[in-house]
Amino acid sequence: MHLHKKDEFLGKVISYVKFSFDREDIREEINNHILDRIEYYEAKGYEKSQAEDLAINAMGDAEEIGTQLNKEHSPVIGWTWKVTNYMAAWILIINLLGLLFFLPNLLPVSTSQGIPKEEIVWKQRVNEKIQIDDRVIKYKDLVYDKSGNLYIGYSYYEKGLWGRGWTFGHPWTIWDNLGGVYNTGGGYLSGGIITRGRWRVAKFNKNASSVIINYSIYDRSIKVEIPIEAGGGHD
Amino acid sequence: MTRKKKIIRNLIIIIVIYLLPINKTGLYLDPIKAHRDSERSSHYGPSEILHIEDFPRGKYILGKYDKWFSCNTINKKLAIFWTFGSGPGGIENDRAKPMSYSWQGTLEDFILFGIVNDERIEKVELTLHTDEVFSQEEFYDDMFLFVYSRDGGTNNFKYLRGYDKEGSIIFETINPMYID
Repeated sequence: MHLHKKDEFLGKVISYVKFSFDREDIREEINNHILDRIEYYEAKGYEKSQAEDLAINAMGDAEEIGTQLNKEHSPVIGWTWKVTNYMAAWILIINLLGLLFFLPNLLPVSTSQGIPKEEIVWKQRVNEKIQIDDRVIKYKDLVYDKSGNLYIGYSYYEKGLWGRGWTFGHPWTIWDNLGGVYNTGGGYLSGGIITRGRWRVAKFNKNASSVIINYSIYDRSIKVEIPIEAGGGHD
Repeated sequence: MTRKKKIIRNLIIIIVIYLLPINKTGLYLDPIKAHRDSERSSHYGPSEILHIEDFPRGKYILGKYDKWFSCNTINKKLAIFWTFGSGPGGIENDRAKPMSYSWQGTLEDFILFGIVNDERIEKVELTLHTDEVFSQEEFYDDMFLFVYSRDGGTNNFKYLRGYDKEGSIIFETINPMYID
């Protein structure tokens, strides 16, 4: 037997709920509630149609219930929740995709990249870190080749949370401990959050026992002296 | 969790995650903050701001720092944001000369800016290749700035002159790249 009065009651209650996305859940909840009551009255010995009437009467006024439910399921709150849900999900997806593009940047890049192995005379790890304003610069390693080129591997990043920052393009002066001054050739290995690069110092004095990296401009002055483990003569 | 709490949670996610990448786009809400960060990232300054000149797509910010002077450009972006333009670094002021100056081209304009060292100079005059003349008598402290249209040229000023109050030339330079 179809319960027309129940459906009519449900339809009237739901018509007051403006936020359409919640209507089905509300309908199901009230429907279950009414069915439970019908079952209860039937168990007490009432006919089905009588049990339906009693159950609906016990629920109260459909308009009052509908109005109250509309307040609880406010369309403003409902839509705000829906829209922010989509926005949060979208931004999460975009950022995850962005992260995939950044991942290669986090992988190590070798200073000796592109230099034939047989050309390398020695390599040396360096652990020097300096800071100019918000830029943290790390000297990673030195590579010396048979042609007398000294490669200085470095990386840098900006400490500040905000902003992107300029590429580090100011002139550095490279010296050796014997007074030799060198020009550097640039060498950009990879960019992104952490920029990695290397300088090539041509014809670096084989007898020098340290390399001095000097930066001095706009009242910022930094000097880093890196001893060469192979020693003077680079044996 | 109530719906209101879910909204707050979503908003926090949106703000935090949205701002993290946006900071790497170099967008700022405050042009002065963009200028300061531009200088700091270029390892210059902080300069003393002497004048800010608006142009349709941004601001020119004239300043001095120790023995250097600069004119940094901050560009307007997406209606409400500001981003780095060009020229955050300074040019050393040669105090042995009556005036020091520099010029650069932007997308729309040329800017020529400088600093007056000789106190006798009361007027600075710029002559373009079109013979159009710009002059400035009210300096920004001791700095001046000319903004003029590119007009299809690349190095299109002819002369820069500094005059004393009698109108005598104290300083004159001819654009070495100007071809008549």
